[in-house]
Amino acid sequence: MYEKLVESWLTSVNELGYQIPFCEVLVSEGYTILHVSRHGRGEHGKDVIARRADQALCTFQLKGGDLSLNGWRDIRGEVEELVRLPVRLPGVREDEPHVPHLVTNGEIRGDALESVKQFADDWERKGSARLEVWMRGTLLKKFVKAQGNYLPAAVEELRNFVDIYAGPFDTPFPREKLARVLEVISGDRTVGLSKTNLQRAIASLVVIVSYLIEQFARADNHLAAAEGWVMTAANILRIAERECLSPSAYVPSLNLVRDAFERSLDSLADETLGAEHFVLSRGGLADPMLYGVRATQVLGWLCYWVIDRRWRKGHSVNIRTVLNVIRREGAAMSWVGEADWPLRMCLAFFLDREGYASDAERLLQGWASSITAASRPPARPGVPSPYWPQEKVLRLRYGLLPPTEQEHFGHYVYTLEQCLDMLVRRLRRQSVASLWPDASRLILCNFVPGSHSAYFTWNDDSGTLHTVSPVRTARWQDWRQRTAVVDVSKVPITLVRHSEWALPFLIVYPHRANVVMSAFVDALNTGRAAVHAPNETEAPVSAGRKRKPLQESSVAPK
Amino acid sequence: MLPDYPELKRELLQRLKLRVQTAAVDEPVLRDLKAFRIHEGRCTVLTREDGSTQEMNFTSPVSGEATLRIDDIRLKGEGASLKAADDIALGLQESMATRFFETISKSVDDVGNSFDAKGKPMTADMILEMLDRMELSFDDEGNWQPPRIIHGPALAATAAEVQKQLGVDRTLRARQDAIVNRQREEWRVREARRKLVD
Repeated sequence: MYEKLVESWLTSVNELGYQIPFCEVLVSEGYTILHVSRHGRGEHGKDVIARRADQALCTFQLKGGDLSLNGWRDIRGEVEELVRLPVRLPGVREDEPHVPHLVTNGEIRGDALESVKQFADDWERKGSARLEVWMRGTLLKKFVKAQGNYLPAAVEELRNFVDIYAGPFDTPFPREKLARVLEVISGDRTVGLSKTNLQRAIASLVVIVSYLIEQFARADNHLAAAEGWVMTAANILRIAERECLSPSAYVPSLNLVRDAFERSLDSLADETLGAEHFVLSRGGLADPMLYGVRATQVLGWLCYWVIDRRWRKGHSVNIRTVLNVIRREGAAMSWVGEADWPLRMCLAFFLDREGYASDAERLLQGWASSITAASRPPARPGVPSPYWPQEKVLRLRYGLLPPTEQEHFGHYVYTLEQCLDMLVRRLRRQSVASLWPDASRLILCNFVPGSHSAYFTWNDDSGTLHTVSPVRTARWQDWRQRTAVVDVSKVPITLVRHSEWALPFLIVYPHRANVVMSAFVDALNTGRAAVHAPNETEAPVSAGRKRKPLQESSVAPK
Repeated sequence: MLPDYPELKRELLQRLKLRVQTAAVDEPVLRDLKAFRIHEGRCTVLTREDGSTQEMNFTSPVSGEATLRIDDIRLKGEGASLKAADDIALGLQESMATRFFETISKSVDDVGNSFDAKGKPMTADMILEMLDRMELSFDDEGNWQPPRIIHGPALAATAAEVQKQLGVDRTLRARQDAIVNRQREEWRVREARRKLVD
């Protein structure tokens, strides 16, 4: 059954759709991936460049669908470039020979196959390596082999897998459902395996999840695809954390997942920056009821995209366009529950980094005061906790939630402490002083997972919920001291090592944005706290702090 | 397989679940309690303002039971389902009330606020002594929020009489007012300490 399912998936995607899982298949066969072209055609016809286990340099051009003689004539020039031009890549000598591969998820039909062979003979005679052709049958065998025995087998996991596989793909990503599929692989099934078997399991995990996520990407649901890749990364990190894997065992797969994640995020940013508004005509009558929440999500991720692209990687971003979109849509943003906290942090970090520190602080102050006001005992209803995804909150708001799923939120809050901590790090003493009399009446909740690897699970029964009635009189100096340093021994070591995943991880798993994790991302992204790494020989790299002079007036959404 | 209606069953089960949830807390003590749902973890640690902590483990969930007899299913139809749901609710109610009082007793013992009447009958003096010992609650304007007195059915008449005495007996009333006023001042002092200092 699975072979049919994989075949059906493989024949339905285009070359971009199977590029990442194809790379993962190569990894599972012992290849080292050197380069993956991000958008469209790779340089000199080379979409993927990899080194085989025997150190032979291999190049791949990926095609989607069947290839007729006419189709072959159209692409022959690109394939000739693939075969005859050298690999130009840092660390690779230009005169090093490479084995070219033409890969298609379809068939080469009719006279095209003979023509391909003739050209391959001709190029070989002229001194190039023989062109290898991998068609659907070969690919299918490789995919089935790579996924190993890790596809869902039990009825419940199979149901979740098939549910996601069958769609729909235009909805928010079914995070909890995917977590149940992935955590079977990253959980008991991989405990105590050898390093080689763990590598295989990780490769299988990526291949299997590709079947699901690429369908969202194909439906242009870029946000959902990005979230799916974050969850994939979280499950790789879970295995790595629990099994104390050396980076060499999982980083090749993690890098591929990062490529896929960034590709989805780039597409989301392109769509966002190119749109005049976020209105969707489908179900347009109801769109105003959801617009604010959609705007919050889009702008939060857009800010993360800028932070990552501009500040972490140093790439250029048209910041004026980004600011224009934030100004235009900021007023529409609607914060519905504590699950929005990581998105709020993204906005604050973005404003902070772009020189609008006072706007960032106002945003944080607004969060603290609105949560405090909404949760004030005894009468206020409280704010939906981070365990309530936005869609569920909206269902509650519009009376669409079954009574059995409703919940009292009361004066228990999960994100107030970390927000106040951030204000303290920004020396907003007056703000904190004005907020504290009301804030101190609330119960501060902080869930700490039972182990570092448990951070990466959707639900952790081994953890402890700490509920604190704060002291009435808070001491500024103590607070300053407590928030000035982040003890990273309390953060999963894999997240410290791969800190680029920390913020997206918290956006997708908002219930993991506890006090220490929020402090960690604050330190990483703004440098407002020192990161203390007692057991690490190498301290995690902070994103650095390059402040630009204030150029424009207030941009922060209210 | 015999014919079945699994989808409809799922929806009906949701209705029955709601009936159980509602009926399980339909009891004077439990009704007014605000429920706080813990989404993950089997343990919670409560840290009080004074820094003291109390750990609670949820390894033994409360439960209620019901028996569905074949004959009842045959003859009573919907009534059998409703009766079973009500039985489960009642079992849950008893378990939750027991757990509630155990937890309260432990907490009160921990902070030294327990008061043992040693089998003597309830009197207004006892109530005043209890009020004096506990920390009273006040709303934002400083209005006293009297605590609820929970007792067994056997004490109903005595409790009503004591309440009446506290309302009409001037001496008792004055003593109660003195306790409340003193505690209100203490509350004001405490509330005035809600601030950020150096």
